[in-house]
Amino acid sequence: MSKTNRRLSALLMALAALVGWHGCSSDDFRMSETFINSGTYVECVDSVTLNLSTFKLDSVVTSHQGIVWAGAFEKKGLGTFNSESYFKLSEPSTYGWTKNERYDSITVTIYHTGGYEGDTVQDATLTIERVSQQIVKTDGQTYFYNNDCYPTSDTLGTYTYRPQPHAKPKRVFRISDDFGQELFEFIHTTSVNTSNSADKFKQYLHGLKFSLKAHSTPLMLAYKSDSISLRLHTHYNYSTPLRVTRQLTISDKGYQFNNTWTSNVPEALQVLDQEDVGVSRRIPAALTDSCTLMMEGAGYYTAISFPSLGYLLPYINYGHFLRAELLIYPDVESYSLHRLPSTFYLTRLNRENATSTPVYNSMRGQASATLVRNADNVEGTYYYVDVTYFINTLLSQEYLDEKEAVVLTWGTAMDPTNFYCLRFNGENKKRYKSKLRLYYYNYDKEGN
Amino acid sequence: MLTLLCAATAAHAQKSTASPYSIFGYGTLANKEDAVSTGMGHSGVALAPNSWLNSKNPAAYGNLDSLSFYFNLQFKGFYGNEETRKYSQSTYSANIDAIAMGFRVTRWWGAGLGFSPYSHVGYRIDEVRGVIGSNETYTLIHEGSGGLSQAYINNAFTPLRGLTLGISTSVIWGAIKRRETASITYGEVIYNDKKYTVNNMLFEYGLQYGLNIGKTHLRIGGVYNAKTRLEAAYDQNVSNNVDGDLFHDDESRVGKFYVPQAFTAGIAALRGNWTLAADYKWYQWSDVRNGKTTESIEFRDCWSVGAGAHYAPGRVDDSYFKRLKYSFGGYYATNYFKVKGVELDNYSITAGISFPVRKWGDYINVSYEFNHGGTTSNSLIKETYHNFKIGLNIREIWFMKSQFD
Repeated sequence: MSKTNRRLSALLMALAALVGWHGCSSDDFRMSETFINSGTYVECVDSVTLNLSTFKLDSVVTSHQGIVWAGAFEKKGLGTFNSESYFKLSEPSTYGWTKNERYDSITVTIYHTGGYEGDTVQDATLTIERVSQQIVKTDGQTYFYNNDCYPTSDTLGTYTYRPQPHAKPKRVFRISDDFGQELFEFIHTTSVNTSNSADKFKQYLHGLKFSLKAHSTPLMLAYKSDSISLRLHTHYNYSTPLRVTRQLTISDKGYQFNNTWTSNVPEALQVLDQEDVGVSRRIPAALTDSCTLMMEGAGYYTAISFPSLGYLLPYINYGHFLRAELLIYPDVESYSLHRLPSTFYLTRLNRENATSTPVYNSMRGQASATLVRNADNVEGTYYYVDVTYFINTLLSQEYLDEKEAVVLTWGTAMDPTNFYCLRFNGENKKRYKSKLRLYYYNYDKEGN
Repeated sequence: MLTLLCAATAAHAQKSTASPYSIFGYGTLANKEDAVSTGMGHSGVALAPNSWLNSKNPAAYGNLDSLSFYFNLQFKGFYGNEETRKYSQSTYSANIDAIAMGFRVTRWWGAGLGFSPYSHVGYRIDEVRGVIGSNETYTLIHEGSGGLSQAYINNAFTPLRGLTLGISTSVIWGAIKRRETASITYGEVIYNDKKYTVNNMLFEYGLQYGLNIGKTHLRIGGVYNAKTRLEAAYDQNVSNNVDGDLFHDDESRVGKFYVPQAFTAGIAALRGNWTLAADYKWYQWSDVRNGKTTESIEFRDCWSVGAGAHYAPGRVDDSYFKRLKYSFGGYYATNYFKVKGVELDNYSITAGISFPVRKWGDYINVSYEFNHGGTTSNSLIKETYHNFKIGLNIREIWFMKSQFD
């Protein structure tokens, strides 16, 4: 080979290698016309049967700390929901005392939050009782349960008034002067030796209980816990009388809680209150007016199970569920649109009604229900939940437990000035029944 | 040589077509030919040139010059436009197309080997489809790449004066990769990847006969291959955007992959500086069913006809420009499948020019093809391509014995 040939050959090989390894091409082009009959398809399956049912936890962590709820209200499908509130008071703001000081009165100051359930156009009586036991949290927990309650020794006072939660939020009223005198004596005694005054006060006054009874129909009112105070009024007999006020407020918000319970519940739900067996029972929506119940503070929850999901087990061998969405319709008679909570969370529930792991969505985050409002047709308002991963996980198992369910749990950002009680349309509702909608991608295996 | 073969193989793994129709079957079929044949309307099965390698017919290797070693390295590029009734888009690509070499072993035996593509796959098609049982839609993206390659050894024998018989022993191999991406709003994204790996031997038989009638040298030629089953396996992997693999099927055997029976017949006439050639090719694709790669299409027998002329005015000792060679031609082909019942065809006009590199027979052969095919009716796609080939045809004197050392 001549020198020229060798150079030419080397050049050719270099060029070939360069083009061969890297080539060059334009971007992929895109067409949006259907001309391929692919063997794959996506199918919507919305005929999966759901079973909605109501179950009850024997105790739930009390909610609405920071709000004193007192009274009762009726809810369709539930009966009567009752609440009383307990709290501890701080020791008096000052102990200083001289022999010239005289007791005048003791008053209670309360502020409405504006929240209420029931009819406020009636008189109601607020009762304040003295708790006769130390208020303590169970087993070192940091919270109270809805069924925690404490005995009371005596009534310190009552106040009957026509509530106007928005127009007249502040109320001041007198309570028992006997209690006032007793508190005055306690201050007198403690002023001699103020060491350990806080402990002495805890032993002296364990706490107070607020309860409310409306005179005509059930009524529940909400008060701001951080604004509740007892004021002890005294004066000095000087030439110009000197008035003194000592204030006692709620000392620790962590020790304010609402004791809630239900009464007059429908017959179908009464079994849930039976000791031992009640917690593992679920009451189908068919027995409760085709709706299920979810009651904040009372322990009622809605469980959703998928009894016919097992029929889809063979599908998973040929495809995958791209999307699984749960559409949960609240019963239009159980809410007003602006008061629906904006979100729920979903947790797995075993056959014993014990909650386990969260339900995961397609992005592997905890599935949350998003409110989709339909202002034109309120009945069409629903909660949308992405349960894709959960459904695919269930179907990847060899065996499906028909009792396996999910439970709707309250979101953390609930409005404490409302007491939420919702009913959800069950599977046997004629319109707007809750349903599971699946989008199934069938991949075409070779040879099928 | 090894470098070139590796490069060529790697090149074929890259995009060599952008035709949406390459989603079907084996993809877009390639012609095993030199740039000169392309310039002559893809004709030349009856030609037996001694200045370039005619890969269209193994029998053509019987007429190679006994002193020369032939080498051809060919590049291909295209600039194309695909359009539907609503959309239009341009694409381009360039790659190595083929490598071939040949030489005369004995007076009656010519041989050679080479590499060329058999088919090209390269597409991306976005679709919006309706969800069955719902008013919703989802997006499907079809992507494909790869294709089949052919490495061959040609042997040509001359049992009688004017008659040459040839056999091409090929290995066909390659992989066709297809990906379908399905996604729905607020849902997961599914990737359905399939890879078809194909290989087997293919035998093609060639014949050429030439005779002189007056000042005209007349030639006829033909190439035939029987229906040949290909060993095929496929690998399927389904995954999603969150978990990864959902399903995997590794190297399952797939039946019914075939190269169809085919024959090509050609005629050529050489007189003075002119060469005229015409070919007719026929494939029996209707006898072939290729598993799931033939979704939504129907294979049918197809044929093509191409004709062209080659003009070589100069002699070896003429000036550079006189030694330029020219070719032109036309081509018409029916497609080997029907889509949605529509029979597709394409036609092209071609031209070529050969630039001499040295006195002794080295040429750079350049061809251009304007190809038009498809249709926009029935939601199909019309294609227009400008194809370019550049072939570096080197002819070395390797076998001349010096009278004096």
